[in-house]
Amino acid sequence: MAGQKKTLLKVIILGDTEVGKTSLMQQFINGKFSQQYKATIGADFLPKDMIIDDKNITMQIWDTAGQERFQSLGVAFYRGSDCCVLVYDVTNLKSFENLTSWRDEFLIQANIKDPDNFPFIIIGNKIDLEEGKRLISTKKAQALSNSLGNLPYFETSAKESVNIDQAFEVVARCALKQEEIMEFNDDYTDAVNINVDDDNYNNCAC
Amino acid sequence: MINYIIISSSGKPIYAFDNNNIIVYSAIIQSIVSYFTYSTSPNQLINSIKNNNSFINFAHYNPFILISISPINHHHNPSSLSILYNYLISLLSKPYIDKIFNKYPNFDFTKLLSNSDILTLNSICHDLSLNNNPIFNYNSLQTLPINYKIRSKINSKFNSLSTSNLLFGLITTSNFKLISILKNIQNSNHNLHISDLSILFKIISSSNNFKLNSQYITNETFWLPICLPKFNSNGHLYTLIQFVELNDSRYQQLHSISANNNTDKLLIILMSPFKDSFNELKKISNNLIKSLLFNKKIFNSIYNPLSINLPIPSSIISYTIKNTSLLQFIESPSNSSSSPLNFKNSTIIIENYSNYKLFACKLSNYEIYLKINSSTPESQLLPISKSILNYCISNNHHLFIQ
Ligand SMILES: Nc1nc2c(ncn2[C@@H]2O[C@H](COP(=O)(O)OP(=O)(O)OP(=O)(O)O)[C@@H](O)[C@H]2O)c(=O)[nH]1
Ligand SMILES: [Mg+2]
Repeated sequence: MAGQKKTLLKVIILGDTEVGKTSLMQQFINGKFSQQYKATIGADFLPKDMIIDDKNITMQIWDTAGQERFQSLGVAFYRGSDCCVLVYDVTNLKSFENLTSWRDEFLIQANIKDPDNFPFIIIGNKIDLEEGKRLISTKKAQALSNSLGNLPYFETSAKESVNIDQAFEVVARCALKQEEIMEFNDDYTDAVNINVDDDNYNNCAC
Repeated sequence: MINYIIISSSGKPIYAFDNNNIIVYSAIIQSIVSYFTYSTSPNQLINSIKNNNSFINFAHYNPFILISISPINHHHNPSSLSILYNYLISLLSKPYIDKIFNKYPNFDFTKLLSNSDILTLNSICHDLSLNNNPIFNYNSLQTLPINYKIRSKINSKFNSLSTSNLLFGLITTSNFKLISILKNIQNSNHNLHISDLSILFKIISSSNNFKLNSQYITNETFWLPICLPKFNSNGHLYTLIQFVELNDSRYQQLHSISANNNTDKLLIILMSPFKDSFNELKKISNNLIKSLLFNKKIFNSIYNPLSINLPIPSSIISYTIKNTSLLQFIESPSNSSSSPLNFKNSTIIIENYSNYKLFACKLSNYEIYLKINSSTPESQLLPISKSILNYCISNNHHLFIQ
């Protein structure tokens, strides 16, 4: 069966509208770029198979809507994510300033119990645009990434396909690491044994 | 075709009968379900979606979301999703599953499913989508008709061998026709449920663990931990499973009876709450098998079970008769178990198909299901059913287990 014995990783992409989330996904998965902007409504769901260190994984990527009026699905679906990618546009100051609130909102809505160890990745997109338009320097972005807990930081261009595979390989690795630290008791039959004298078995009040 | 999909509450796929696009579907299903669960006020749960072509059913049993997608006119078994849920619980028990998902909401449950679990899920979905498993359809067990005096003999033998660590015991044929059942509990609040047994039977028949070259293995005794969700979803019962070959010329010589292929194998199922009671149960099983094989009357009654001679015309293609107070049924040898008719509030249903009719009626504590030639006049159906009823009433003690 397809999907069986492959690790599934749930990855959520967040960020302001028009920073290029959908464009990054299109370039990463289909190798295509479109100049035209089409707002994402609700969310798009994209599967991507990868091999990381001989491990077969499938990423279930959630490309979300940056525009508030199109966030019709609510935010409850953040729950159970393995990794969250925060995207901003290097030519748009507001989108950079909003990164922290995207992160905080995610932590609350996804009900993350250990925020310090949850894998986030920051992507600054549209580095192909001319130098004069750029408003956030690499240094400034690095500083923010460090202050949020040494988050991996990548600068990309969805238009010219720069650094996207590299960024998503790190996304996959971080998500996989998160997956692999899970520990569970293998001998489930020892978890609870039915005891004939036990209360939940015997309704007798003696 | 019907599709069944199971995902975790976080949207990770766990199982799909049809795997196409499952990664995307899982995400869509989770978004829809979590939207209703968390973003509507007051919070609502979504139960179903209907459009012109299909009907989508949702069941949210934390940490699982189950859905079925069926064509709009399909006879859909309303218990389908809970049967699938119960199967997942039967593998690992509720507390174990809760513990994992409380700790890791993003847990990928496919890691805990073996290939043989997938085979069982496929087989359950196959049955549900075709409505061809009578235990699911009628929520009752099939019996092997045996003269009631001989059955009482079997029952009392079974009882006399029982020990305090034996909780439940079943003797069935290898296709799960019930011969004898032993409930060794004083507390009547706890009982064996049909839905639990239907899962156990599916596990036995569909996984390859009990078979060699698609034949049940008779020279090994199996010890299987299984959680019976309706009985107690909190833990496991330890289950001894033993198949016994009946088609052996030595028994025919011993009892001087002729070869007949009616019942080829027996199945002994013994359940205990204690992991270490295997040897004790194995001893019960050995003694039980001896008394079944070496008593001529008993052996013959199982090997050549009573034939059911219903007073029915040849226009009846097949029948199923359910005793609704005992939750047991018998059916014609040629039954293809066509889709169960849903009585809702009526007591009689007739459905016409291109070359046959389905008829069902409730009479006293029986439900009678008939598949008949289209040419049979409807006026005959009730008189036929009444004569079937009379036959069942006078043979009740042979046909069903009291
Ligand atoms: N020059 C350049 N333009 C880009 C790049 N990435 C995206 N764009 C353009 O930016 C606009 C918005 O891109 P989208 O990918 O639709 O943005 P989004 O983040 O998905 O927006 P929402 O769906 O509203 O949240 C489009 O016109 C893209 O063509 C890039 O790397 N370089
Ligand atoms: Mg978009």
